[in-house]
Amino acid sequence: MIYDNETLSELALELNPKVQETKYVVQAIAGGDLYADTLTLKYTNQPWFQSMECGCMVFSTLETFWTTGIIFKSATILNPKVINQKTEHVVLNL
Amino acid sequence: MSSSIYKTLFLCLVLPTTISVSAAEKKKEEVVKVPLYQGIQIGFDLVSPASYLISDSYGVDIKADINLWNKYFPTVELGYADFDKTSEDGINCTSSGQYFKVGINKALSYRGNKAEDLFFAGIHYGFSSFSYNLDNLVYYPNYWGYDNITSFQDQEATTGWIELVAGVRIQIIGPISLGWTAQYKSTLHVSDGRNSIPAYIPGYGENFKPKLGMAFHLYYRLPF
Repeated sequence: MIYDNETLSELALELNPKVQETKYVVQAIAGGDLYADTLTLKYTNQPWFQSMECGCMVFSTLETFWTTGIIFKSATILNPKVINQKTEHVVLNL
Repeated sequence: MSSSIYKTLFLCLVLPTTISVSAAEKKKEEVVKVPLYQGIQIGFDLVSPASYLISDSYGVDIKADINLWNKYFPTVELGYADFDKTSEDGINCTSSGQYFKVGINKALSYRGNKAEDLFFAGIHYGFSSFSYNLDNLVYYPNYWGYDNITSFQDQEATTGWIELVAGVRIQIIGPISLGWTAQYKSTLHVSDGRNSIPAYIPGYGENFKPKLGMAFHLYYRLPF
């Protein structure tokens, strides 16, 4: 579990660099009811050596991102290149 | 009293004459024309072949410069360098390749008919096309783990850089000279490998910028 009982305006979800698809389940309680949505990200990976000091990492390029539509109506990819943790890559629309 | 007047008159007459004679000599010196071609110096890098004793690289380097008017020295340099370094984290990088440099030096001061002793500054462009291997790479860990060890083989890159140099060359005996050159280097363009940024560039050194360097050469002046 990455976030537990938190009120969030943004999420940082790491992609699994061993595969080309990662799923996250988001659960929310509203009006006493539990809602669950599955976020699915499809992407390609490129292993990348940065420097002797920084070592090796995996850069990903987002291809598609969709939700099951229970909590989030849609998702928009803003920046498909995932090469750092600072950039906003996806917007989820409630 | 009259004696001092005579002395003053004498100085007034002699001094302008001396000055005008010196000016004439200077003019004579200025009109001595240095021929265009003043010879070729071949330089052999003394440090690179043995530098593996104190660093992670070694190589060979030879250069030639043409003396024009004892003023300008167009220069060409060819070399080969080999690099083998393991970081504290165990990442191993090996790289090797050729490089060449072209440029021009300007004499700031010289001594001798053919500028045997020389103090110079110049600007050079260096270029290298090379390959390298990266081994024992560990991915940066994230939520999903990922501690695989991998390697990237046969990465290829090309690089160009600029060097601002200043140095001296001193005649030891006959056509033999020794010289050192201080270098300020900065990459102009670096084409990355398929999966990596090159850690080492032959002829340039480790891929940082700017970078300072030093070279020691043994020179031989060709007899023609």
